Amino acid sequence: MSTTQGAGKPVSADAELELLSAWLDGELEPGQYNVILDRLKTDPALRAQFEWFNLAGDALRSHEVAACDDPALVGQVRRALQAEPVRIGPGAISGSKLRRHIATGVTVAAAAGMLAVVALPQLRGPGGVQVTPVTAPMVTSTIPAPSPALAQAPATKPKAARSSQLDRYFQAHGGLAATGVMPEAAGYIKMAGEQER
Amino acid sequence: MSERDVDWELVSRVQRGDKHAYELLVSKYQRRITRLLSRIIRDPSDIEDVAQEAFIKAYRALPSFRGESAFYTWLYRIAINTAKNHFAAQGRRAATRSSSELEDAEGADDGMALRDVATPDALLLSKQVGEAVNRAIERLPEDLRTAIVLRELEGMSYDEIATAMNCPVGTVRSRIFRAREAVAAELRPLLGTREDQRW
Amino acid sequence: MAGLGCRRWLGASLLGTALCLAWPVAQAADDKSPIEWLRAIRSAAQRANYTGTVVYQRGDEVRSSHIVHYFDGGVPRERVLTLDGRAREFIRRGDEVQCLYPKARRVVIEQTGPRTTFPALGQVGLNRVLEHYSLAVGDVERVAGIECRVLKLEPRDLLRYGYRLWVEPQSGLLLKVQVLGGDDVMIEQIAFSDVRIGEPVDMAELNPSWSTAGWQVVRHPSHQIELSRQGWSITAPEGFSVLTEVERNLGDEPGPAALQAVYSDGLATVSVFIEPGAATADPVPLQHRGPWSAFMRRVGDARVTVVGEVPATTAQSIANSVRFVAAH
Repeated sequence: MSTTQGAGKPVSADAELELLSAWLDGELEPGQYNVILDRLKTDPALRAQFEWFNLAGDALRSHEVAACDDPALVGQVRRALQAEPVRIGPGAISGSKLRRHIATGVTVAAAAGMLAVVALPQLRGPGGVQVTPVTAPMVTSTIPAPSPALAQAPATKPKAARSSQLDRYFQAHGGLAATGVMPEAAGYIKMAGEQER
Repeated sequence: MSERDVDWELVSRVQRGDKHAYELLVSKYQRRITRLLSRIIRDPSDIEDVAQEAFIKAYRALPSFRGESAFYTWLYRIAINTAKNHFAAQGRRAATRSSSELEDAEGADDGMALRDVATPDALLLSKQVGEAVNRAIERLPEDLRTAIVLRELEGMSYDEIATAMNCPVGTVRSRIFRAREAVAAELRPLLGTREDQRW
Repeated sequence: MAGLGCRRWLGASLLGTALCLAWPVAQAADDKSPIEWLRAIRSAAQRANYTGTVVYQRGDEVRSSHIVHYFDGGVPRERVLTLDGRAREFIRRGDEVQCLYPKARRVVIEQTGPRTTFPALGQVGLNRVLEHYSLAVGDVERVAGIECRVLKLEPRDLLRYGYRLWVEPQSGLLLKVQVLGGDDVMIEQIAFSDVRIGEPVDMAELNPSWSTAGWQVVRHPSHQIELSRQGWSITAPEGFSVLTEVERNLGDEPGPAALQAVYSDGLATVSVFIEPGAATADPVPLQHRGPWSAFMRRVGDARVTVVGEVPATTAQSIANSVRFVAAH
C-alpha cells in the first residue's frame, strides 16, 4: 500500500494510514476526523485499508466472525442505499454525549494509579465517613424465591436430586474457574454448597 | 474518545445527510452481523438478503436513534428482528431449531437460541483465519504484540496503553498501526481474493 | 476456537503488570463507560482489601460465609470460611488454594496453574465480554449500607445467563451479584451483608481457623497441556474461549489423570472433563440446579463431563461437540 519516494524519507502514504488507524480507535482530534472522513470518501485505496484494519480487529477477537467477511454485501448495501432518500435526523448529537478520554485529566490519573499499586488504598464510605460494618436484614425477606420453571428449560428433563458423583467435578471446576470479573471467592462459596449434597 | 464515540460521530454525520458515513458503519459491522445471522439462518443466500435488509432498516430508523445504547447494540436488535420477520413472512421457522427449542425461545424478545450452524467450508475458513492471526501475532515483536492486544482485546485507550507500556502515546499509535498492518497482511492471501467486490 | 485470549499471546506477568498500572484511580468514580466499569470491577476483584460476611442464596437455600481478601501489590491472599452447614475453609495464596475439611480432618491443596500474581486477569479480554453481553447502567442502591451503582449485563443470546451487579463506585468492588435466568428472574445471588473495604487487613485474619496438625494432606497438582495434542477436539459455544487446559487428578484418591479444559466468555465459566477409560454404563443425565448445569456422556471409552454456570443447552452442546480426532 505504501509507495517509496526516496531513500530514508518517511512515506506520506504510511503516515496517512497511521492516522487512519488512530481514527479507528477514536484517538484523533476532532479536526483531523473530518480530514480522514473526506479522504475516505474520495480514495478507494484508503477505504480498502479501512476495511482491512477492521477485519484485523475482528479476526483478533473472533476467527468465526472474521471468516464471515462478505465484501459483496457491502457493495449490495451501498447500491440499495443509493435508492434511499437522505435521512435527516434530529440534528447533531450534543457534545455532552461524547466521552473525552484524551483529556489530560486521564493522564494524570493514570500516573496516580501507578503510585496506588503499592500503597493500600484508604477508602472511606460515602460522605468521608469510615465505613462501619452494618448488619443488613436477612436478604431472603426481600427477594422473592424464583420459580423453578423460569430457569432456562433444558433440552432433556433433568434429574431432581444431584448425584454426589458430580462433587469432584464441581470442586475441580471451582478451583480454576475465576474469570477475574466475578469474585474468585464466589466460586468457593458456591462449590461448598454443592459438596454438601 | 472510545469506539462508541467513533460510531457516534459517524451516526451524527448520517443524521446530517452523509450516506457515505453509513457505508463505513456497514463496512465495520458486516462481519459481526453476518455471523449473528448465520447462527439463526441456515441458507447462506438468505443470510445475505436478511443482512442487507437489516442494514437498510437500520438506515431508515437512524433519524430516531438517540444513542441510548451503543450503535452496535441497537443494530444487533434490528438484525434479530429482521430475521424473525423474515421467517414469519415465509411462514416457516428457523430451520436450525427443533420445535421444542422454539417453544423455549418464544417470548424471548431479544436473544434467540443461536446455535452454531457451521458448514465444513465455514469451519475450515475459520480455522485458517485463526492460524493466520496466530502466525501474525507470534511473529510480531513483543512491543507491537502487547500494544495490539491491549487495544483490540482489552479495549484500552492509547493513554492507558502508554502508561502500561511506559512509552509515549505517539509510540503506542505507531505500534498499533504496524501490528494491524502485519495482521492484515497475513489475512490478505486468505480473504483478499474477493477484494474487487468491495467497491 | 472463537479466538484466543490474551494469555496465549502475552506472558501472564507482562499483561498483569500492564493492566495493573493502567488502572486510573482518580477517574470520576461513577461516570464510566461499559468497558471502564468492567475494568474497575476486575481490578478491584484482584486488588481490593476487604473483610466481611457474604450471603449466598439460591431458591430456599441461604448460606453465609466470612471472607477476607488481602492484596499489597504482591501475592493476593484470601480466606473464606463457611458459617452455615458443614464447616469448610478455603485459603488462597496466589495460585495455591488450601481447602480445609475439619470434620474429615483433611486438607486438599489445589495448584491453580500459572496464573501467578494476576489470576485470570485479561484472559478473555473485556472487549470480547461486551461482544456477548450488553451493559446498562442503572440506579444507585444500597448494599450492606453502602451506595452502589447497579449494572445490568444482558446476554445477547440464550447461551449464557444475565447478571445484575452492584458495584461500589470508588473501589470498584462488587457487593452483590445476581445471576438472572429467563425474564430476568434471579436464580442465584451472592451479597455482602456487612463489609469493610480498604482498611488494612490484620494478617492473622488469613490464618486457618483450626490447627491442621495430624490432618491428611491431599495434593491436586496439575500441569498445562494442549488438548488437541492428545487428540481431543472441543467446539466452544460462541464467545467462549479456553482459559486453561490441564491434566490433573480428580477426587481425593490417587488414580488415572483426567483432562480438564475451562472455557469462559469473561463472566460465565464451564469446565469439560475428559477421563479416558472411565466410561460408565449409565452416565449421569443432564443435571440442572439453579444456574448450574452438568452433563455427562461417553466418547469411545472416555467419560466426558461438562459442568458450569451456563444454561443446560449450552452444557449439553459443549459435551456433544467433544470428539477424539487422533493423537498428533
